[in-house]
Amino acid sequence: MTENGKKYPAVTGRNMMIAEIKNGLFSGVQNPGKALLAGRVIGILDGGFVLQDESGRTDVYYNGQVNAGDILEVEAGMEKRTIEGKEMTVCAAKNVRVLAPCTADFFIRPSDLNYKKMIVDLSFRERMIARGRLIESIRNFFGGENFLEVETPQMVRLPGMEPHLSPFKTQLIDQAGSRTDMYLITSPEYAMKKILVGGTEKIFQICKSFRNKETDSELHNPEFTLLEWYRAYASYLEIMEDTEKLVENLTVKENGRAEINYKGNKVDVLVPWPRKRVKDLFKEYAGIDFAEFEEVESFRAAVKKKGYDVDETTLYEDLFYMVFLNEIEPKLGFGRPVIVHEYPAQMAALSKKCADDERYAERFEAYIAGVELCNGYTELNDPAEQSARLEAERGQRLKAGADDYAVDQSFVGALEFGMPPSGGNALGVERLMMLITDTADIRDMMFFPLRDL
Amino acid sequence: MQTSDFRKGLPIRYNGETYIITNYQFVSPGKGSAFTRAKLKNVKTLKVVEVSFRSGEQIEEANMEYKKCQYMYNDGTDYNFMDNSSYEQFTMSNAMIGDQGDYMMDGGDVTIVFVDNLPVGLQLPPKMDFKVIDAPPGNKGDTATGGSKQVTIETGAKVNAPLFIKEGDKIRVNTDTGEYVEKAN
Repeated sequence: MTENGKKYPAVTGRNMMIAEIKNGLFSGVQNPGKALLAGRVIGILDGGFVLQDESGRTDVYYNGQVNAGDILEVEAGMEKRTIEGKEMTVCAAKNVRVLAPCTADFFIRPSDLNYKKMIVDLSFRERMIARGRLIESIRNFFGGENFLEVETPQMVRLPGMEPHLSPFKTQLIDQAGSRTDMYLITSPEYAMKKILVGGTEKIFQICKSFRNKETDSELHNPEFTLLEWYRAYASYLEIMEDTEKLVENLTVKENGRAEINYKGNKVDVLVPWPRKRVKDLFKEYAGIDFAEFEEVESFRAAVKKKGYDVDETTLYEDLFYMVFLNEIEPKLGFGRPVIVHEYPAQMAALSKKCADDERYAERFEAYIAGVELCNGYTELNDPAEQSARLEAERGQRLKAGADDYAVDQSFVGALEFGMPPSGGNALGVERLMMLITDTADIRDMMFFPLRDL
Repeated sequence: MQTSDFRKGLPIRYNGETYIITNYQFVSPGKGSAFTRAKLKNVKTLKVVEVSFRSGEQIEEANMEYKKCQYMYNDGTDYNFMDNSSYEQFTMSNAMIGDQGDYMMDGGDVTIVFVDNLPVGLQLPPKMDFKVIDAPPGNKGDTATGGSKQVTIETGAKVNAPLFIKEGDKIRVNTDTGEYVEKAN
């Protein structure tokens, strides 16, 4: 055997987890056989050490020397010892063998990388376990509704056109060395709609999406997990119902009841959730009435009167968000979630206009405890109008100096083939997990946030 | 200045009053133009407000002045200082100083930040060295986990340090996070 082979042995004869040996201890069962434990030394005690494996941690009494951080195999047994005058049954080691040494300084700071932090921060581990469970629950929920799980490309020739999103750009190099620009998706929307054209009627996807320039935030990471689902022959009304049922279902499974407690705010997520039109919110929270809200000139005057930094070039969308982010969003979804719907038509490039009022579009967002959870539509399926709106957005991108690329004609072409009337939604999976597990920062909801790369 | 110039501790003028930016993050860049939501602390009332600024919006910076001062003592509710050039004495409350008080030595020099002639904050070097005055040799149970133990530095503050740190050692501490950085001698 090589020197290296001795230092890093390939196998261990581990025959027991720490939780098992501890259960034996607490129930008073003596463990007569030879227990072989394995795990990491996470602390040094007077006359012993603390050993941890995935199932838990235990104090181990031992006379010899061990190094903090080493991964050991421990030949352990139960012994009666007198400790501070009391006779106790304790876990004691007869022999230890190093399986993998920790050759770096074993010292973990709260600001350390998540993968290191989780060695001692058991709440982080529990959160990651909840993360896995929630993904499984999402799959079970849609499976139960007979949705097909689909996978579509994360790398595409042309990404979404949303004026304020910045896609990551890369290059495809063929065998002859010629290069083509490619992009990472900001959402899988175009591809999923093509599947609706193909005749599959209920589809969902849990995938990574990428948005550049979204850093320094507790609610954004440039790479994040998006849940999208679509129903053909349905509108955004059915999608709203899916949304509230999904959140209720996951919350009950994880928390035992239909209640989210986020940053000290209790939210009862029992269905059905209250619905509010956008214009009603502007009236209720900001005192801007319908007539002022619906015309850009009067809206601009009303927002300026409130003291915001506004001039004649300020876009409708910016006026909207100045008021929305300062006066409305921070108050949404406390006590009960709220579904905000009927957005001004110019702010919903991929959704259908309301049949009874063309100034508004069938778009909705759900808010819980001030957090925006999702964005859903009755999907626009008129190819001519879709093409015109995407060209208009491209114009906005050019004007703003954003990266320019062509409108994806393969998407418009799919709509020309005929897409059934459909509803769909895009939901931030980490945000939903944050709400359910009461985690304030998205960077604590993933193993490797941007900060740790 | 604009939202892209924001950093923690920067004083700005907003609605006719002076505030310190205590935290900020980008919000909702996907649906409107980019906005930055900032937590602002009023320098007079110490009340905190949350405001969302549009990127491109002009924000007025407030004037900041740094003065070398001597930290004299803490009377239980306030920290007492003296301005080294004018010999004027002034106080800052425990609430204003917060955890930074852990890194001040009686009689030591500190830099105080003034806005509108009001002391608003303390500027500490990002890393400072302190002597360890107490370091228990071993620990019991879960307190010893993560390769760390609690040691006491000369200001009386407690710091989590690696197991090998002994009484009398000098350690470097990050004054922003309160974390041990490295052994200093």
